[in-house]
Amino acid sequence: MLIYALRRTLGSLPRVLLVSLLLFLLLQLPAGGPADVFAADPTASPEAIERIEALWGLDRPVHEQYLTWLGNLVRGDWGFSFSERRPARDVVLERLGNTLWLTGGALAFGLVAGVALGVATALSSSRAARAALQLLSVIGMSVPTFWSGTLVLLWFGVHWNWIPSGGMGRVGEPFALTDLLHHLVAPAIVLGSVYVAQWSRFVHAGLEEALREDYVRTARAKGVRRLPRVFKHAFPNAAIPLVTVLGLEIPRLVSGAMVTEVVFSWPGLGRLLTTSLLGRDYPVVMAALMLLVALVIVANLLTDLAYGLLDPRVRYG
Amino acid sequence: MPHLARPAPGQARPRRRRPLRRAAWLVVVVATLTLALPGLAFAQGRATVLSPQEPSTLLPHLDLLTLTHEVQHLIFDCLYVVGPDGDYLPQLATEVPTVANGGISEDGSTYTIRLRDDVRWHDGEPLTSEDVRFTWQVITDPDLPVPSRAVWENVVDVETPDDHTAVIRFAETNVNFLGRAASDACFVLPAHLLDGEDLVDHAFNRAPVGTGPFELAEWSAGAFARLTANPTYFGGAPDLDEIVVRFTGGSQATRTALQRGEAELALHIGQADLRFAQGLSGYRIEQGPAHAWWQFWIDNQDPILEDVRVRRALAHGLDRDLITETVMGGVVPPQHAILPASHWAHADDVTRYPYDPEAAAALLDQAGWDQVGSDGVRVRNGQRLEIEILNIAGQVERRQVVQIAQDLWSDLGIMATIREIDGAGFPSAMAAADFQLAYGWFGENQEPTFNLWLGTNWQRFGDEDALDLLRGVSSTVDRDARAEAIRAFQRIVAEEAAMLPLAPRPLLNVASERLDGYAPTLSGSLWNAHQWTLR
Repeated sequence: MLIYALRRTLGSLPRVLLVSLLLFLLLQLPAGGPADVFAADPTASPEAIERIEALWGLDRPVHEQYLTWLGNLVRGDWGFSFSERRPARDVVLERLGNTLWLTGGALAFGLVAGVALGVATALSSSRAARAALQLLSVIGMSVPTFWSGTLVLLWFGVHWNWIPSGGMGRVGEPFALTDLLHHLVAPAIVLGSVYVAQWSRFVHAGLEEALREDYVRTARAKGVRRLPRVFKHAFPNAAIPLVTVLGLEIPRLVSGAMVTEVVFSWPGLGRLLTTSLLGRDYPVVMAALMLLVALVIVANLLTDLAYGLLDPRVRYG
Repeated sequence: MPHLARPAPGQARPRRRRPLRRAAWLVVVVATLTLALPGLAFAQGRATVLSPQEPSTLLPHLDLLTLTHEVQHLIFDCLYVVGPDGDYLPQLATEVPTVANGGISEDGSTYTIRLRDDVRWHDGEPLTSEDVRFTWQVITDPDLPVPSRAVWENVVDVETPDDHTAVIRFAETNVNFLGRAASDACFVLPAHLLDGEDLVDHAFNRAPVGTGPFELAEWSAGAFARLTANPTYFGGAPDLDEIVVRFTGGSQATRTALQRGEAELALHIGQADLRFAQGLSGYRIEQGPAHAWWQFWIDNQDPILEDVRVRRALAHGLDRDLITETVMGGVVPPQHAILPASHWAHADDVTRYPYDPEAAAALLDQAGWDQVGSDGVRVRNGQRLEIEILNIAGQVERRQVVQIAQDLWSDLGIMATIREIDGAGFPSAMAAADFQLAYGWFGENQEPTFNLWLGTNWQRFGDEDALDLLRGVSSTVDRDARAEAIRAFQRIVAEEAAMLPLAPRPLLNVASERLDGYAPTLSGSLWNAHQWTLR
């Protein structure tokens, strides 16, 4: 399994290279460059902008800039933030943990609520429950987080004063887990609710199918009670498609966090990416995007490895 | 049989389910407790300031972002600032130099600055004239990405005859020094900490040491900066214990925080938040002067727009009152001269173009655009009167203004279209004269440098005699004489309708009624935070 994981990782390197090249070129497309951000100021002369472009190496041809960037990346140098005047690596990694808290919270909420909802509706014979699930899916998948987040802030934050207005913790207080959770609850639920709808349908469909399988009937005939029958025998089989979806959704969850982070002023990677893009801080943008690329690859790999844990028939070779 | 003595599977199961149920209860209890925690409690003597953006670095001179300067004003001091009445106030200097008090040489090329002798850096070291000299060296260091070296780059030498005297020498007359030394390029740096250091990547950038009324205690990236009072501040110990600057990142978070009463001040709210802020109780809207204004650039060498009658028609066809009363929320008056009324050199007696569609139509007729096609668009020698307006994408109010202008000009028989581009591409498009009309804002310094006319000149204004008026300003030591030349130039531009000023662009701040002493000036909103008190 280790050899398989290693081979998969090495095999994805050409794709990473290609993606990095594409991203680098895409950043060059819009008119104006990092130094032009200064040009809005009346006291910044065109000469000053040229001077800064030369300092940052932006006056060199694009392929040269890319190769320099790539060479540095291989050596562990992620570039230097134009605006923050410190290594892009520091800027990005500082925010990664915050984003993982948010996406982790959203993932946990999405999974728990999605599985619970899916199981409950699969077991229930009520047609109304099924219809309700369908309706919830449609709503959940089509309501954008910037809208639901704003509503949640308005109701729970302003009207009822249950949740804080944003951020990750109280200012000037030492770190406390309860404080972090208090700040995390609303954004995690908003971000995770999109997936509750989707995942509950997968669980619902998979479970319904598995419950009709012969081995479940056999278990029933042997006198296994209902709950163990569902959770021990049917659910692991029903969970396989969920794992696939999960692997594909984790990167989307991180990018989806961008909007939620802005609404709840969560100091994460997504908000950093937004401000860096607007400020044309290319080294930080590239560092953050490459981190996301790595995340996609790792998530896909973990998904494949998880199959082996869930399904003993899968062998890696 | 022995196996019958074992508990049946059915009996064991309820016991196995119990931990699950207990865990579920735990989750419910914890969730309820977390949700029910009361809202943020306020530390005594703490003022919270909301800032839509985060400073990129706290090492002064490396960032042009106004909000960075706001925070830097808490930590650092300037030689001078601009006070509430628009005049210079000494900060690190003992007095504002003039020709009369001997601080400025007769030819305006030498400034002698006397520093206060009671100023100490946060680490206890005294401020000396060497720090002023070092600051000049940093701003002009060729290896540092300093975005603006204006004025400082013309300094020939900074002499330090004694610890509290700095003599700034220019090769020739320089009338812009005071304005520059009181603006964002004013913060004095500690030579004893930074001399000989590599400032590009320095710990100081995120752990600054200044002379200011507050010291940085904590900077949580993307979230907030917490600053604590400097009890030994030379301007008097601050009344507040601390100031927290929260980086909201957007208008939604700002609104929520204001609605919950969590902030004493919200900096630079957008036009879109104006109506919301007007409806808030316990808060007032304050305009921070910025010497900035919205305008339409006109390409004066465009084949259609080089005709002054067409430019005047556009000016007469633009209902400035309509735009300031609606989109701009009724907080600013229309502007007619190319310097806003907040500026000391503003000319009030320029030619005005009141909204007058009939006068505009007559001017277009005179200019030869007197045929009207079946689609209502004017035609001259077979050419349709088509004009494109360049705008920066992404801001609703900007687009609304441009759309109103488009409608009004269309009523005159002008086929006006809008092209929107990304902000960073705007300067290069303008510099390449890839526009006919363009909407945007511009800001001028306390001592105007006229980069808009003598530098970029995107509008391709070609009246050299008029431009000579501006060129003479920088060598005129007498302020009244300068003002007269600047006003004469504004009258020419208005007469020629070479630019279409629309309205001032003040910085809009929302201040709590609890906050006393808050007095925004051209130097920003936080320059006098040591004088703030909370009711």
